[in-house]
Amino acid sequence: MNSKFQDTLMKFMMPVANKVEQQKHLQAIKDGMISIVPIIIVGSISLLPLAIANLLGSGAVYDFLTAHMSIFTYAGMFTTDMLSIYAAMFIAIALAKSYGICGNLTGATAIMVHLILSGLSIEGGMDISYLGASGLFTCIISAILSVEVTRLLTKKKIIIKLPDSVPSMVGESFAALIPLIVNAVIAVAIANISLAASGKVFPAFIMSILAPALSTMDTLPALLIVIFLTQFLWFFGLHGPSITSAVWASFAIAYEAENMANYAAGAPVSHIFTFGLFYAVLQVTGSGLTLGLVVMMMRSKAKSLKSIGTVGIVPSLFGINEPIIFGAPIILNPFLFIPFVFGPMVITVITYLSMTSGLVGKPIAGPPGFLPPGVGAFIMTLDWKCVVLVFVNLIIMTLFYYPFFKMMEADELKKEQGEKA
Amino acid sequence: MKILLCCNAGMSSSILVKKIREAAEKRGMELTITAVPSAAIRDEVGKWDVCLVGPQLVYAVANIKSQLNIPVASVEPRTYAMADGDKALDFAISLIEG
Repeated sequence: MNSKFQDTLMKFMMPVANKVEQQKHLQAIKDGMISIVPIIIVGSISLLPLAIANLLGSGAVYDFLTAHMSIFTYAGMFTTDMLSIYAAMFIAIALAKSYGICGNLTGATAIMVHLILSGLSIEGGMDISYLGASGLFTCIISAILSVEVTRLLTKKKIIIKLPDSVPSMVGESFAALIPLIVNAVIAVAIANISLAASGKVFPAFIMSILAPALSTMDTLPALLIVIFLTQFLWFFGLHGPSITSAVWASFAIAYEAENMANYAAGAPVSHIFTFGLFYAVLQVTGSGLTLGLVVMMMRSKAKSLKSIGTVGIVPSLFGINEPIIFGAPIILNPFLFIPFVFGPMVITVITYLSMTSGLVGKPIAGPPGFLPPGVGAFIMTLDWKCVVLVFVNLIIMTLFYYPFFKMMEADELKKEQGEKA
Repeated sequence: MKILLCCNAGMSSSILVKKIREAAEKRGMELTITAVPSAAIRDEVGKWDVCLVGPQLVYAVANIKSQLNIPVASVEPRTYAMADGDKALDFAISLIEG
């Protein structure tokens, strides 16, 4: 790849990456969605006893687990099944912070708006079916609406001003009152208009609009585009997932939560492209599945490669491969473009097909990040075959890197000998 | 001197934190340093003298700078890859003095 071509591409990509980074709503959605991952992990833990019972099928442990299942899975009801409430709060706080208007009531206002929009009042209680995975898109609206309304009112100075002698906390709570009331009124209006006009609760209306997008994102072509862009950006030294996840994180997290809810309910699990799958399988040991490359570098005769490999091996085992990406370097390295950008796409095809064919279990939980290869995959599926898949993927990637690595090593050795002479 | 490091998840930059701290100790410098994910940058306003950004977030430098109002720059890739504490510390000092 010649440098002029690279410069042109860079000139094109930097502003795009910069624009995405500065788009406050997109960033708030991404940051807010990623903030609920710990809640998903708690929900996943509460699903473990159910998954273990399903694995066992019979015996004393099985009997004990099934007899007390409602206690074991109790937390799931308040985490996975109410995920959108947490997300509404996190997205609102992230957005309000970027505007510099985050206050005591920011999170609460978003939760209030979201509950009004999504919790359908029924005889003797509230229908919570739209507070879980299927409420995750509505909560984006709830959060943005609540922050924007508050921002507009504050900007237009439509807040109650009190004399200076009033203690500041009292003043603050009054100042926040009007935006809170206006938000409630708007949310009640939207909720009731939706019910009257479409006969559907607001999130059902949103989900019917989003249906085409929702079914498109969880397909092999969509996943391949995501992986290609992620790897391509990385090749130019830009953090791929950080940029692309502004678009896909909401979908992947919604799919993950839906799979968890279905699994808990004993219904079939349908989605493949979950947040956990991306990091624990498709990008295991870092973007580009570089573990094999790191090992080859460690054992290289070229001193520079060996030193980077040695520095990079431990972080790589925990999914951090920046030392390799910038050290090898992979960025702008003509030798590694093909395996680094196209290898992970092959891995994506293999992974996708092995899950659609039923060979490997689909994700039923959200694993913690930054775990050694195979660990996240196991927690995510509770299927040992998924662990095998991860290692098969890593071996295939190593074979992919091998010939290109050899060329790069030969080139490096030539340079090193040249320096000596 | 107070140095803030920033990358996507605060993970890879935390490797460099340790090395910069060691470099500062060797020089007998007083240093406060930590690594944060880029999403948390808004909570760091007014607390730091200089901010070093992982090269993978070079596109975010302008945005981070506008929020922190201190010298912000991305670390040279090779320095970042090797977690070269000395070079990164020199770079941070040059940014403040520059």
